[in-house]
Amino acid sequence: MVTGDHPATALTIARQVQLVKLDDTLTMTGKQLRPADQLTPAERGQLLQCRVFARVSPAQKLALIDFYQGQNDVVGMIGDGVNDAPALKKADIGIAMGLRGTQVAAEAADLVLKDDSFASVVQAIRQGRVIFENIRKFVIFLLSCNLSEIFVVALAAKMAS
Amino acid sequence: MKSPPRTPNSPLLSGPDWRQVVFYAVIIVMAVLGSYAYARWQWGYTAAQGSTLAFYALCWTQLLHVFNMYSCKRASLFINEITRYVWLALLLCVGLLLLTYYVPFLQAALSIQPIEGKALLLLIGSGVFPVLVVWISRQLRSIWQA
Repeated sequence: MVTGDHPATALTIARQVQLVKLDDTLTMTGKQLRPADQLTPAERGQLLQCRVFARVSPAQKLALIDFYQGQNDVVGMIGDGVNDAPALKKADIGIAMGLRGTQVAAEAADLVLKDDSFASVVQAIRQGRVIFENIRKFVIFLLSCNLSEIFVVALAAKMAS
Repeated sequence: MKSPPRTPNSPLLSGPDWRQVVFYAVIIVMAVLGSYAYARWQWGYTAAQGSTLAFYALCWTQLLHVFNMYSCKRASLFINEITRYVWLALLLCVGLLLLTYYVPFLQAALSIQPIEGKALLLLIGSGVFPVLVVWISRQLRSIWQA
């Protein structure tokens, strides 16, 4: 969770949605975040462990996405405000809120949640994976069929001669 | 959600997928040319009759090849995610194949020669062969990996 809100608010909500455990108090604020190239290995480790970031500016959201992408992670960014637009664009998949979100966020996003429900993100990922797997299967099916035709024609010509 | 996301720049088909494509193609070729060779040299079919048989065998094996596309490593042959629409498509395609055999102008267009009833068994066998080979190979691989 990366938010511009107060750390206590962010941590309370994170606990309620079970993003962190009840006894987990690790939060980082925008002031603690430093540019990725200036981080020590220990700070880098702490950053990767932290689940809740508060008082984060839009520029820092961008830097965080950059940091996770640098770790070879696939980053999804959910946002609704105008200031989220750059980060939505930068993320591997930008997800905007369709009901309460701004038009700018919706236009910058790859995916717009029509019902503003986080559960729909899970559904969308599931559907996306099914579609991708079906495309992959279809390509395998088509290639194997076409390759068999080439082999059959070539070998049958050889057998007939 | 338990499986990690795929790397964005990874190709659509990986190395094992390409090997699988070649494996499928080779099995289909074995089934088609096997039935062609059997009809020609065991039953004394002419080259034209053999071509007709090979044509139907190729169509039929490719139609049944859809049963090799299920994703589970070990799954039932016929009770898997292949939906009723696939069954309907199969029925439609078999109907079209029957038309090519019985409708005179289609017969002429595709140079279809009459073949005997016993060739139907050979055709069915050539279609079922790749499905069985792939199914058995998946079973063996999953037992091997378990």
